[in-house]
Amino acid sequence: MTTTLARPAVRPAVHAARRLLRTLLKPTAWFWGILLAAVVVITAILGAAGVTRLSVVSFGRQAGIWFPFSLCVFIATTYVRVHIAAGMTRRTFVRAALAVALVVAVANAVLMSTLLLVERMVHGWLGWGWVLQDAALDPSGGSWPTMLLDYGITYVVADLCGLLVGIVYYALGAAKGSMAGVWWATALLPFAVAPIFLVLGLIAGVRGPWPDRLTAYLLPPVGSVVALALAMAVVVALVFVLVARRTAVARPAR
Amino acid sequence: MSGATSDPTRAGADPAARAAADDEVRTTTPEGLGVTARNLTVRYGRTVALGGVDLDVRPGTITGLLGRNGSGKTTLASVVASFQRPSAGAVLVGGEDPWENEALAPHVLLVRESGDVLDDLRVDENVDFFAGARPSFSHEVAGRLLDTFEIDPRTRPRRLSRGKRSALGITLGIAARAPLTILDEVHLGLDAPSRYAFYDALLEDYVAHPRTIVISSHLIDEVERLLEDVLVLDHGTVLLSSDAESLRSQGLAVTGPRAAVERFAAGRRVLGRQALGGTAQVTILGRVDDDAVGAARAAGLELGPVPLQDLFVHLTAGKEQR
Repeated sequence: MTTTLARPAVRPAVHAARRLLRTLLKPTAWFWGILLAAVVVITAILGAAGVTRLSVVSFGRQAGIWFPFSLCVFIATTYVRVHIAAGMTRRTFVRAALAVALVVAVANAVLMSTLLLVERMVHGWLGWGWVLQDAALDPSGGSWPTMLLDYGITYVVADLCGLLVGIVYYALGAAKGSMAGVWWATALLPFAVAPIFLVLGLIAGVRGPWPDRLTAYLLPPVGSVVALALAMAVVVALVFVLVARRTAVARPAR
Repeated sequence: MSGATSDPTRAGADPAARAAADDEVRTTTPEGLGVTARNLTVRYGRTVALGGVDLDVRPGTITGLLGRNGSGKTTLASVVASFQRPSAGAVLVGGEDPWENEALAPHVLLVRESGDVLDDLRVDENVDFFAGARPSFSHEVAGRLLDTFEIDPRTRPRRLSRGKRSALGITLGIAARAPLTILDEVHLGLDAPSRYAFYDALLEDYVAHPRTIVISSHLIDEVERLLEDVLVLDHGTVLLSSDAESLRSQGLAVTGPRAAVERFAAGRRVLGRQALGGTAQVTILGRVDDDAVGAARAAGLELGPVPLQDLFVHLTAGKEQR
């Protein structure tokens, strides 16, 4: 018999992913609870004021981008140290973090797009109108799959950018062991979050906020927007993997 | 010593071979992983933390990793545990490179001061998390040590005092029963009863479940009774690597009436001196012939092995002076 080391009963990537999902569950539940309460209250206030054509849910798009983004920054900056100290590799951390980011992004996209449809139904039931105020792949908001795709690509890119921002801060801080690393990471921040704004710009480009002369040239079909967004997601994920797989573990806070 | 063979478990290997390997690996636990370093170098910018270190840690032993502040102990532990990569040279654990080694990672454990735990989880949730990643983890040992150190499993680590956090790290470190366990200054903040409870628990579990343990500590007089081997680092190099018995036999600790002790020490190299009332103790470096030993005993002196603490101070202070 060859002498081989015992393995954990659960694959490390699965073990880590479960832990991360549990970590995100509570703040995500709070996020949706607050969002729902805000939508109900603001809709009631606007209705009383006679503003009945506005989609309040669509204003939650930015919150749906930046709150999960910040949670992903939190994961990348706080969890990797404990993950490695617990006896797992950076590779399994990367797998778990990417899987969790994708699951959370898709779940948020499903919830947000479904909430939009529910809001539309409620408005219809009340005899109100309904119009999206934000840029969207389907400005009419009539197609749930298109809305899901819209939110899905945005949230996936945002969550991956959150992981990238977090791991860059961690890696540079850990490597330098001083504030210099933090300053460098801050200097790189625009590059790490740029894909989010690029995706939002691409989606806005479908409707055409560009100058007329450019619109005809740049106006991309939905498929091109999705392909470009996914390409950006892949690039962000690859950079995250490259940084995370090389990062040193910093000393714990004392 | 058991080594790690990973080929059958790699992706792309024959499924039958992988299945056989899966059956096998779940039943095999090594009794300690050795460490080998060759020309190991770690630099932080212009600072050389480890400068071309060659060393061996024997599997299945308790090795004391000693050295003054900034000698490179923590850096060495970090490289061995794959917390960071070396700048040059190689380190092997059980004959394999530990860096990103999925087969090896669950079996190499580094516990640092204050522990590396999830602050937002309760202590019992942290225990479950670590247990899920460590194949040899003992919940029974973890529970017993939490009781010993009076840590409430329902509390969160961020609410623990420094000493209790250290105790939590120790609990996880001992309960994990990792074939290579490195404890880096884990005693910091612990009161004396807790430190002695830690030493007792470590020794008890080590006897029941042999493994390789590396202890880095400044409290040499407290941990020396545990040590089988000693590794002394100084300014990023290995100053001394030896088994503890050989070191202790390099001199004598002589205790007795002050005047008799001083007469015995006259003309010999004295490393340390202590006196309380009319009783004194000196630590003498160097071999003492049998006649002198007999004469000392006849004069009512007690002779014992040289304390590692005195030897350590002598060695590291001497290097500095050079």
